[in-house]
Amino acid sequence: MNLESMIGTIRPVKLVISISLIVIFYLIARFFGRVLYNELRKRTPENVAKPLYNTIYYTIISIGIIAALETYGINLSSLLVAGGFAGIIVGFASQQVFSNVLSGFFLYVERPFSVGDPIEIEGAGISGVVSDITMLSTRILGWDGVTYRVPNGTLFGSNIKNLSSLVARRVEYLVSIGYGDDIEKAKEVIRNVIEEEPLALVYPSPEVFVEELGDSGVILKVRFWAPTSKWFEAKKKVLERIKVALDEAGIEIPFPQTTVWFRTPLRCLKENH
Amino acid sequence: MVYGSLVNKNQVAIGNVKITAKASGDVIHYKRVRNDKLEKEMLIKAPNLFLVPYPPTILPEKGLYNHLMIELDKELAIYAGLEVNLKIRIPVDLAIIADIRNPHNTIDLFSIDVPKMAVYGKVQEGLLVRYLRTTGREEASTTISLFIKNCWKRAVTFSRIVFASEAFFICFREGSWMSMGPTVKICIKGERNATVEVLPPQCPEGYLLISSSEGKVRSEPYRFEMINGFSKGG
Repeated sequence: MNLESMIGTIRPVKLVISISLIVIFYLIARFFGRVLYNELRKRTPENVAKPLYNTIYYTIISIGIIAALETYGINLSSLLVAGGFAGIIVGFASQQVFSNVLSGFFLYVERPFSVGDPIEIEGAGISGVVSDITMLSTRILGWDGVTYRVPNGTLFGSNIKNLSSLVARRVEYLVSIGYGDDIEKAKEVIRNVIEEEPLALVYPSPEVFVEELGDSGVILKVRFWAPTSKWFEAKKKVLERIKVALDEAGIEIPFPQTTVWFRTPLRCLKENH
Repeated sequence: MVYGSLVNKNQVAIGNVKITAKASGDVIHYKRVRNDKLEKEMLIKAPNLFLVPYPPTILPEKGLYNHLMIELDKELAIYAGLEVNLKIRIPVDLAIIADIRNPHNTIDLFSIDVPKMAVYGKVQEGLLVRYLRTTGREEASTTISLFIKNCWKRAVTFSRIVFASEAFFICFREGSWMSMGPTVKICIKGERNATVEVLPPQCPEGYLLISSSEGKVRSEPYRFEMINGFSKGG
């Protein structure tokens, strides 16, 4: 069909019907899109609401255009077949993208973290504060000052530690003392250090107990709680003070030692000069 | 040492804290030493410096908590329908200020004891609070009037009281250690539920008022539901 014959087949009534269809579908898209967007904005963030709005809006507009073309008897089956093939190719190509979008949606529904939360992704070696969550990825400002972009698909499949979901977080150390040292004295010294630290909470109560009788010494487990936002500060301050306090109290922090036993007595050779 | 002017006094000691404020020309050389270790040193251009009590609502760091928890030295047991009125003394922080009429413009803020915090309730659902234990010492402390009514049908025992830090007011008298804190009214309503009302103290004549909310005195008593458990071990 050439251009002249196509123009020849355009009749005023069909033209009005097709234009009317496009206008009606446009108005429907505008109305439903806007209503849906407003409702979504109440429940979801902008980065979720806007793509959903766009998807609904352009789907309705597309249906309108297809319906308008149908009034001219334009058969869209070949177009749809071509579109289908293209869709399969694009689908394969964008599998990862859709996986990330879907994961982003599920992450939003599940809400394991929010913007501003310090998190740790186990196995990925990434830890920091969530700075942005989009449909495709999440940005994390790492403790080392580097910004990480983590695809939502990766996040969804990982174990995520949210480090700020509770008001307090537990600090734990293993402190080894010599077998000859007084365990009770060591425990008291450590308890005093914790008591002197403002960031170490009174409740839940701190704990110091023998965790293990190790190869080189008695291993004490030290546990106390600190405000989540001050966890790292408390952790680094207290451990250093425990070392100093144990030194001052004359309590040895042992290092691995091995006693070598010889089956036969050693013979010493004496050289005469 | 008492609340009031610091300048032209020798070194003053409160517990293990020593303070010096030496005027040299129109500048004051201020030093705070704890256990012989210098904690703060400043040169201050001001006509005078004053030591005042300060609500225990900021230390160890501003913004970490919004509530206070007082642990009584003895457990209280109250039978159903009965009421107990008692006065307790709790430690307060100390502030150094230049203008006694504007006590919120603090130059230094410190505590005699280590300022401690705790979680009130379970960690999973609890509140971070400033932890205060009743004390017997007169300096750097204030009295709180407690009116506790067991509005419930069963006897209760408890040892901890929680209320909002924004409702903490102190009246103090210059030239003495005398001070009065808020009045706390508690109505125990259930096994793990109590209503707490905090009222500012009625300052007698000659006393100055200092509050945790920058002088804004609430027209209504502060109400707080101790839903995480007021009882022993809460």
